Amino acid sequence: MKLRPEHIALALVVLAAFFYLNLDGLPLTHPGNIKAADPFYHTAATENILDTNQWLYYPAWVGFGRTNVPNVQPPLLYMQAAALSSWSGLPSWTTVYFIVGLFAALGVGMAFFLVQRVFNHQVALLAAFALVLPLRPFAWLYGIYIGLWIQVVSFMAVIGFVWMAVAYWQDKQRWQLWIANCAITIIMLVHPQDLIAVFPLWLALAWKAWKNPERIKNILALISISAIAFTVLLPHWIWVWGGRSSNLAPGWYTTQESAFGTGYSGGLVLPEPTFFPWYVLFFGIFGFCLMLPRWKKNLPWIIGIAAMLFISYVTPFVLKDPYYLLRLRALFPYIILPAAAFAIVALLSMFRLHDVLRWIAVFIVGVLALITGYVQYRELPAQLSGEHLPLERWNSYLWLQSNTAMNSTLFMLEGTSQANPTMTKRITAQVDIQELARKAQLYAINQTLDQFWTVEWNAATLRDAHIQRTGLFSFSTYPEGPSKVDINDFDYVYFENLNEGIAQFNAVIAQRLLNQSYRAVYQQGSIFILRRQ
Amino acid sequence: MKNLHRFGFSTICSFALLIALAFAFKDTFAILAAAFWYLALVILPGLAWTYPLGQRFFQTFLLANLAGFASGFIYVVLDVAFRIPLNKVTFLAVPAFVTLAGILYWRKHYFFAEETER
Repeated sequence: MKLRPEHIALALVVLAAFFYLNLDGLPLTHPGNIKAADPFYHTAATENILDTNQWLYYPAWVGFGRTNVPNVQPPLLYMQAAALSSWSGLPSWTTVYFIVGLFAALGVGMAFFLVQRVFNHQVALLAAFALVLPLRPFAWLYGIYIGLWIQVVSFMAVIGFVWMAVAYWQDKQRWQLWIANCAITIIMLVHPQDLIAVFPLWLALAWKAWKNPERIKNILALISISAIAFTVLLPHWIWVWGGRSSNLAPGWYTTQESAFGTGYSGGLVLPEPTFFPWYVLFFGIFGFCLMLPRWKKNLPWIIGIAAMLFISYVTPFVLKDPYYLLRLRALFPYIILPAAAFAIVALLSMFRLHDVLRWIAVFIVGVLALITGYVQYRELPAQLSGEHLPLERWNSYLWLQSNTAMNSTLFMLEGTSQANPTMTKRITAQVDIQELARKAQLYAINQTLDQFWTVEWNAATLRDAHIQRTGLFSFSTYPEGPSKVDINDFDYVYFENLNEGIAQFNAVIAQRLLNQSYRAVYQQGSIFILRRQ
Repeated sequence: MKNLHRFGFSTICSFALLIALAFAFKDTFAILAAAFWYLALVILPGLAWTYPLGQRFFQTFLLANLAGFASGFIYVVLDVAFRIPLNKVTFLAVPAFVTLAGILYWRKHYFFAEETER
């Protein structure tokens, strides 16, 4: 078999998947080192399907006992992950992560074919090498290892859509419209806000398809599946989007510090080209300049760069809070690295090398890019190995899931870490660690302890819009739980002796509850749970 | 039957590829389970529709992932419009139906044609 560039690209996809799936090192025993709050919500959304055999409504524990609270998490990724979990027996956090990691890797392959169509095989291969571990990986792989999970899948569908759009522009084959239709369906059902980014290209593609003599068949190929999905979900869009205050309201906003700041996670959530090393940016800009003289041929890439810059740096001034739209900045490697590869291949062509020698040069530069990325990558898995949800706590959550009623109320004294109490799957009030420390200090000073606590309610992100369905197209809102609660009103109280000082304070609280109507029902290691009689 | 062999070869390659991908999990059973069920529930439904397009294997594999994943929209329709429970049966029946429909639709290309249109 003759070795072709796409064989190397295929190997790079496998390599990318291996790197991505290894990042978090998720155990099968418990969702221990899931990072940050969002992945817990994604895992919970999948678990909800497995628990209730449907997606449309949340289980009662999410909506404070209500059974008509529509799910605001888009369905498709969670349904596919639930299908995979259901038949493989693997826990949901691994199947969601598996799909996310795999799609991220497939993006390298789709980018290879897209770049190959716009430029050539050599640029495409070099770009694929660079995309496996984009410099710097800690920034550009953030979406995989922390929390853009559903959007990572949606982003790859965006790339697949652009690939098919360019392919249709060149070949005019109807099946390319069908696949573009599939990509739009994925975006719509995985992270619909990203539709905004592809809408202008979708319109252009529809116009191109319409100009063809077989326009009806073409338009059907482009919209049929996504139109069915949209129609079926129309009431849902109305409930969910109607219940939110619009964060995409147009206007003129000149103080969007959050769109450009680097406060939260050092800007990783909304990364920028400044995360690239200077030499990558240099070659990227150089490549862009080289595209301009032959702008007609390179038009897809020039438009792509312009679109990314518009979304990243103009929308914050004209939309109220385009947070999810700005996350598209995570796609900068897919725009900048091919431009840099274009510049390098153009420079190599100046040496008038024999084609074989030029291939070898491209391969060497590609391997160097990969090695540089790997050197930076290899520190990451170790850095990410810390657990937010230790096995001991997970076992207590499993006990709660098995031994308490679905609408039980739970009071957690030390449970706010990265939203992991979501996995208790119960109506849970959490005490912030500062509130706990404040109460403990008050008790130490004057030996008084009232039963009223300031709390946050678990799974707030799942509720988000606070809407409940009242009719086919109608909804009403419901309030979040009270911020001040009486500990005696809860069915269960959960204690975790994180350290000696907290253990002493916990003992005081527990003794008071035991003197009233509570009794101990669970004790394992540092965790114990009381139940109201 | 030549094309049937090609389809089989593509399927085996997809499976082998997925095993390679799934090596990140530390558990052998998990490796096999993830690879097998992703192949059965996502790739095969997509492959049945994209393989006859006559693209090379790697492109077909990418397209199959997009098409197979998107075919999950049927779960949404069943759940939202028809309130059919999403359980083990549904999760297997839908991909099986999509795969079978794809094979039947393209049957001439798979089983009877000497050469596909490539």
